[in-house]
Amino acid sequence: MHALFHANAVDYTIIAIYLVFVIGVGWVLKTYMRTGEDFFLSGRAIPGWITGLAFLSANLGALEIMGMTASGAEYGMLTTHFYWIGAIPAMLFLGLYMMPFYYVSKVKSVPEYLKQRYNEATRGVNAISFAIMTVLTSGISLYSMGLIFQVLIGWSLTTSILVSAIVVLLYVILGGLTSSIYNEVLQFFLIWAGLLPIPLIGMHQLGGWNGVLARVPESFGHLWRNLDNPAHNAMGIGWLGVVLGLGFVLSFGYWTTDFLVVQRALAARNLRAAQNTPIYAAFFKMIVPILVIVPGLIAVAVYPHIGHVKNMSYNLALPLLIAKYYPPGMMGLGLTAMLASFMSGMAGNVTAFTTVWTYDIYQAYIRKDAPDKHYVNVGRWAVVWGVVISIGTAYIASGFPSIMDYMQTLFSFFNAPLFATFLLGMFWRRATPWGGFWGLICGIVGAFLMYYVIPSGVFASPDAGNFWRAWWAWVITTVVTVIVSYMTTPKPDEELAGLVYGTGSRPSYAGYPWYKRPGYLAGIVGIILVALNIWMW
Amino acid sequence: MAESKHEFFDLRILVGILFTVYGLILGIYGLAAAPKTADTSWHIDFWWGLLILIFGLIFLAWSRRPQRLDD
Repeated sequence: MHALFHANAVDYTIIAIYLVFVIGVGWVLKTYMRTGEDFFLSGRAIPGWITGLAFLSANLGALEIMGMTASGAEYGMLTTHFYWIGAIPAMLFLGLYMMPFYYVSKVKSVPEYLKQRYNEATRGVNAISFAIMTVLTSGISLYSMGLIFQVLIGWSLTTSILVSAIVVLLYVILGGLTSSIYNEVLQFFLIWAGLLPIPLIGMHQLGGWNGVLARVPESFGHLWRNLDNPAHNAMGIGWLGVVLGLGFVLSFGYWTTDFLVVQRALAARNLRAAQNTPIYAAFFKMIVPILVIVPGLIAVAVYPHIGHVKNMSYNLALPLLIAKYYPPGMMGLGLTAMLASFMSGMAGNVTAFTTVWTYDIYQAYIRKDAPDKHYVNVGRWAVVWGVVISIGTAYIASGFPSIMDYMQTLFSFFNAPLFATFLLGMFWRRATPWGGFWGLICGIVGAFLMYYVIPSGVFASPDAGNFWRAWWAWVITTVVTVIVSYMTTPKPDEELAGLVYGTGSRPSYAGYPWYKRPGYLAGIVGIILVALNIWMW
Repeated sequence: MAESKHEFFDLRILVGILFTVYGLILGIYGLAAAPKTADTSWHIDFWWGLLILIFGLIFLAWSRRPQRLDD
């Protein structure tokens, strides 16, 4: 197979330095890993700016970067909804309203919160489904990463899968969550260093932002103007679907309950740092479209036939621009950025999986009262076999490429109901343990039924289908939880202390300057968000 | 509570080292080989390398100040 680039010695030097360096980070941190809390929770001692960047970076995997650039080339600025209304309000809500319950209750994981708030059964459902989905997801992204490097520089699938899996394995096993978080911050900066020149060169060549817009279809420059009717935009969605499905249920479901991201905030040094974690991340999240969606538009301007001719799929938008704009040297940095974004995503999956496996499955169901050291060992072994299963999944995916999209759709059925369970659990004291359990189960089953029973032709597009299914799954969970709660006995108030709104004191930061207070920072993010949406209306 | 929590190795030093090294490699390679593509008539390796070098040095300088951990 003919590769897009030919990497030379300087490019390989840059990539090699990166690989050695990230393992070195794990090595440096190894001596700090004394207890389970150090290994799984970074001793709850990380400053807020670090957890904030890691929070964002863990989500900014290579699949996300390639996929969103492709989507930018296909749908234009409409894709930005995934970064703005589809992320920011949820991140602010997590920081302002949910983090106090997560952090103050001292839980190690999202499933553990469910146990404290509801019961063991609810935790079990979430822990097991999360653990399975996480290793499978990391296997799928491992495979996609292999594909990318095959197209880019002609590496074989096995080379890229083994190199990246082993590097991630080594640095996580050595330095635990801290190592993962530190590397995520390095990776965050590398992604910017390696990819920012693309939109800069592109805009320079095409005569600035307006020059880019002049060369793409008119609708590509707008966020809301074409959402009045699903027939008016390429995505086939209306504004109500975007607001309820994407902006509310899907986005809140992911950002506020997915342990992959929440774990970063739990590692923060104190409650204020934990609350600021998603809020700091939101500042940067808002500008990520420059890195991923603007290049998509540039790709359309440069290659007007992209997506409509053979050998030029939308997924090649970013690689084509890298090949066009980057000389040797920059090429190495660009490839390192791709590798970095991939590893940050995979390490995030691995650390989240390890914690849930060790505390919510192994400790809960297999061995209850072992010494702390034992669980650290179990965690280290979980890193090993988590990575091994991922590699296996990657090879299965390479045999049956079509199951990838299918699995990702299936996984999306778990988050929307979970968000309803959390919302009621945190803000409604009357929600009972079995109300939570049955609500969650019915929501998940409902999402599956909707997927299999309702013909796909009912929705204008796959995105519209996802948005509306998520919304109705959320409604089912809410309704069932409320009904069952009124038929069963709630937990006594003293067992809910610190877990539910109104049972503990709200944190106050009255003595701090405005730029350290979560409320003010979130307000600033909110204003910028509204301004951006009006600008791109 | 905060004083009982340990300090990990300073991340700012790690960021500083990596970007200083990358800045030097890219900058020196850019000066020596001056590679271009059809679309970049200026020396992108050199200038971007210089920016990265400055970024790395800023982090190294910042890491000489004590970590204000609770911020």
